Amino acid sequence: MKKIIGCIAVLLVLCMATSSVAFAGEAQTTVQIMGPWVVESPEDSVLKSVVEGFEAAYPQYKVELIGVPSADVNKQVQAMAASQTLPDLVINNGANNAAWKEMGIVENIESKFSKEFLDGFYPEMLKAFYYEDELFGLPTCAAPFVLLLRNDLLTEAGIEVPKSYDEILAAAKKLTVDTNGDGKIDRYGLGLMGFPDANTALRFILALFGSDAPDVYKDEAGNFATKIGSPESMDAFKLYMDAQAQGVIPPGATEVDYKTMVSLLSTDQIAMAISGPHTIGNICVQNPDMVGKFIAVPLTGRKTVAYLNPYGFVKFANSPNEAGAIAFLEYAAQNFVEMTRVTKRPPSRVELAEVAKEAAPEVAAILDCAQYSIDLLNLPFRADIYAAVYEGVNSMMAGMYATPEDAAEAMRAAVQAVLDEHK
Amino acid sequence: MSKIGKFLDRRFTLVLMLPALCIAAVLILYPMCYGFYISLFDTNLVNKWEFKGVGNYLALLNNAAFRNSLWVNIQFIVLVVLGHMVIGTVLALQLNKAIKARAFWRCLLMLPWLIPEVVYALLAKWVLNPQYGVFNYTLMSLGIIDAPVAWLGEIATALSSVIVVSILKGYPFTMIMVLSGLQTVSGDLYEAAEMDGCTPWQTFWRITVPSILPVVAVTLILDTVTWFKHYTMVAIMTGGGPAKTTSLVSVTIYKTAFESFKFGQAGAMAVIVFVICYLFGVFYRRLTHES
Repeated sequence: MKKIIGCIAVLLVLCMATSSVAFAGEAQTTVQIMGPWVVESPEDSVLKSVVEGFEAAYPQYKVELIGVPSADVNKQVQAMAASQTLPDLVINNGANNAAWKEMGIVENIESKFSKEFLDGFYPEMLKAFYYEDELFGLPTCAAPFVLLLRNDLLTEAGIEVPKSYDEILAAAKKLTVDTNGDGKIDRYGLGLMGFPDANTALRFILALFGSDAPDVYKDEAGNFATKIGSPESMDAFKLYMDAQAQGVIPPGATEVDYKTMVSLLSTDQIAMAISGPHTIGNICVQNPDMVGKFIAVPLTGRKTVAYLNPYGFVKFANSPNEAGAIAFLEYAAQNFVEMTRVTKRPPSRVELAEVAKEAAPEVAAILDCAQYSIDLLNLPFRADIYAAVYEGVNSMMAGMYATPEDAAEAMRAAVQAVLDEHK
Repeated sequence: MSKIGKFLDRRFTLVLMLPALCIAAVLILYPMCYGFYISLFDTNLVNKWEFKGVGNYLALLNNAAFRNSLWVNIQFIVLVVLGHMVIGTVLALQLNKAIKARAFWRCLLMLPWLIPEVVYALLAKWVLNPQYGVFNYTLMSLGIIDAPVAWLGEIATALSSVIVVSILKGYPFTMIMVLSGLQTVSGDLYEAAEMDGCTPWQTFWRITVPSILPVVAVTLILDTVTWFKHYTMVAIMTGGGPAKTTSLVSVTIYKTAFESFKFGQAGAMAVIVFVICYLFGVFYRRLTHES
């Protein structure tokens, strides 16, 4: 009898324990986050630590991470939007907000946050997540595009940080050398990307802004127009074509995409490139000998410019777990300093600046670049503008055009065709 | 016999085929019909469905990028399929002989087909890289070239390089198909030919080729269709550049759909590719049937 009672008691305890676990499980809701940091290293470890911190701070929420390579994010979002299976949040830089707004898959979330909280962001970074006065997400850090330089090589060659495109070319010429004395050039002064993708377009657009010739701007009548093809814009085209003609960039510029450029930088084959501190992080992961050798400065042509490229999380409309998504946005924005330490990306919140500077000294210079931030317009047809620009750069670097004027005219016509189509 | 029994007796083949037909309808027929349907709209697949009728098809007539892609595709497909047929057939003929370590060679020569396309494309990109690629290094060491060549980055060499890489990736399929065809040819025929005094060349053309022609026809159709809509390797190696010299139709369709979100236009392009592939199939079947 005692055995039977004992067994019943054990069963009762087990049932109670199981039901309490089940209850706890029911009370927890899942926040789905999709994006490239889930599958990219070292970003994945940072994201994981932030998620763990969030789950500890908000035990009612569980985070499910969905990995998508950065090149496939748009495609994945499109497919999920069509099948109405979008997650709560996507890791993005806000560049697609206009297109997503037109598709009706994002909504204004400004009212979910206090004014004080939103005032705590660098305005240039927060602006990227606004489109037509509506806020669709929050930045957590920036992946800026500036001029990345090998400071040790510059010092060794007695070269000042270049302050114009002519000085960039002159410095690149001096830094293009045969390092091992075999009669062949094995380190080039400059790396320019020419692979036909959006990364190439963004870098050339920064060079255009540095020439005081924005790719797209609003004219006095309020219409979209382009300065490509203007006399000012020739500086950017000349920079690219002269760099190739003078042999200060490695052969095969049309093959150079972001990964190839990181590889060239980390293997000491190029000394300068238009990129940012996130690239320093990747370089140092590939080659720890490069730690402390790079500096990042704003790109200076006719104007001094930088593209902050703020990265963060965009929330989709009618997301399955809205409260959890908003809580995560708030938490992540305030707890992303580890990303700065690991990848050298500066944080999006002003109050984290000092902590970030301690975590990664390179960040100070990048944060100074914020004042030179370009006004890259958020457009529903942004992808078409990128395509027109990267096809133009790719053709120019492939030697399709005899002069910078020819290259500029071809790109102007392509960009104007996009603007005309979307009038 | 019950009604069900009678029905099963009469329609037994249909009943057995039904699961496969259902799967084919869901996975093949529906996407095809849906693809044609969206080609009639200006749509982002979410909240914009503007009926355009044949407007997307008419627009393609003035679409220089699409016309260029078709021309690039034709050059690509002719040379790639020809390369597969030549290399695949030569290797299959060798592997059909009683050579030493035949199983080893069969496995080794199949390797390119087993490697994922993404990995193969990245490997090819590294091998051909002008800065650190082993191909340029070897050619320079042998004194064949003085300076590194951007094989995938120059207008003159990009398409040829992509074609060579595609041939080396895809020949094992042709090789294994032709080899399977060769193994069905009766040895008696070759013995008879030898007794009749046929030369090896005559034996090949008069016995081998006619015997494996049905297999060759199927191989040609499958290979042409597979490589006509090829995307992955070219997208990774060149992205369609330089100056659109390697911009295959599939690359243009992908960019139109997933970069510009013009799904209607991309759908129209895809329908045209489907028609071309279908015509290829009809052409090959007619050609081999008449032979």
